[in-house]
Amino acid sequence: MNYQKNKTEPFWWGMFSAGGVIAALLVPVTLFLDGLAVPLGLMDEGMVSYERWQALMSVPWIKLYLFVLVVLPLYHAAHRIRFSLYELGMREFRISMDVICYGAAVVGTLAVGYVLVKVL
Amino acid sequence: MTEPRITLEVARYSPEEDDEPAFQKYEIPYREDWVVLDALNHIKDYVDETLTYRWSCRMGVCGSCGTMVNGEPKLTCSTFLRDYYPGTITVEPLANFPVARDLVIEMDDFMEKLQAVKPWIIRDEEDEKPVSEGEHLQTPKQLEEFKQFTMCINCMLCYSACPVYGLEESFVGPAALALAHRYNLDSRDKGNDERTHVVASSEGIWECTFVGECSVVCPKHVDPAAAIQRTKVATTKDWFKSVLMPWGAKS
Amino acid sequence: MSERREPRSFYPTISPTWWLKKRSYFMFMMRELSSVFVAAFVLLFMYELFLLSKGPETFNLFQESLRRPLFLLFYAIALIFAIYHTITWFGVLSRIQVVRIGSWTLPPIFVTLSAFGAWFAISAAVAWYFVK
Repeated sequence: MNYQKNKTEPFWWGMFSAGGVIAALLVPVTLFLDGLAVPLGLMDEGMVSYERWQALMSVPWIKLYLFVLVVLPLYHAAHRIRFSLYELGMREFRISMDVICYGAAVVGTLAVGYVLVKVL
Repeated sequence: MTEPRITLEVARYSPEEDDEPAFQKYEIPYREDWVVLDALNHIKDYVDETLTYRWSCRMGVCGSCGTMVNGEPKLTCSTFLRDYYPGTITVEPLANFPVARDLVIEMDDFMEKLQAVKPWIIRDEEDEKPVSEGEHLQTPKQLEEFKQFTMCINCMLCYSACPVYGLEESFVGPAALALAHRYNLDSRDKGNDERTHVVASSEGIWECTFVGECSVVCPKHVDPAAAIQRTKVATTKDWFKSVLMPWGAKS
Repeated sequence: MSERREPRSFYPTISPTWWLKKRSYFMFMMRELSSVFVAAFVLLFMYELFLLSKGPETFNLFQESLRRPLFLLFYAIALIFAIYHTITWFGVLSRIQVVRIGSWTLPPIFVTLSAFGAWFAISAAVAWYFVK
């Protein structure tokens, strides 16, 4: 068996890890506030109003925070989906599948960056 | 007074005759202090001398008797009948390995991988001091860093528990990677660079998805999963350092 | 029993449903699946924010649709998976990150408690910032 050090995996694993930390720390509370707090009567509807969000968007570091919050978990999911596909028996087209997984995360990164910088 | 009895369903496979393994039932005496190995020895001695299986120390240190007991990788010398009695005990060869005969598996693949990670102290010849200058010293603190990973008895239960190894035979596997880590952490060893092309290969640590079952089944509490994840962290840190700060980089 | 022939070993195969065979394997798959729900949520969240650029009517209309039962079900399931991710992620941290000060090793439980403590603190901070 001819073993060779893999020079690209550390990058994807690093991104997966960073995404995992962000997802672990921030996603549960964000998810709760965004989707369940108001319907459960724990938060006033005005907190998620158009005006409130527009005000938040003008805070300088908010967009950076949102970028990190949304983008890093995409790499985390891309990595897990890639390996889950292997574990479900799909190894045959693995290079194409890898490209699709990480490619989707990269596309997501660009789209989110564009929306935060140009659109909002 | 009837003696208590227990039934074992043991996988049999004849390499000259069979296409696939089939179960054979053995009803034998039940003793509260018996382990599965005692049951197998009783079968071989008194019931069916053709039954073939590996064992040696009968005390959980040699790593020879790895077997699937009711679908779980176990050492037969350390698995008590009383934990299954009065139910039937299913005994099968260790999963994820080719079956040579009955409960005996081919371990060549594991042996190759073990050898590939060079599980021995690698010294830097230039660093050596003459015998007259005395011993090399290792403090208890230095030993503590890697001691847990020295406990591996090469029983291969972790390979049986690992679905990644089951699916992808080229995976270097938990024990080999844990042992590479053991030597890399040893203060007496300078062989990290000689192991890294195996450890940090696609078939090495990067194949692992931290299912964690290897550590669950390990009879010596080595925690190979932890060894692999720590290696991933270290390798990733080095990678980012070499990319972001290429001056003074290691190879 | 078939005819005697040259001895050959039996090579077992593993089925693609291996992860349904043992509870620990199934929970592992659920952990992996959690990442899909996490990604789905952050993308939905981003879409909501994107709608800010479409004006208050469009934005509010979408917010109202998020209160409907189907979305609530998604949120509930996604939250369960998101919390499962957090628990499994920080649950193993103490095995990966060992803290040694001199010759003393910090008991692993403190690493675990710090991680979960940080999770609670950060979540509280985010919630406080958002509702103030």
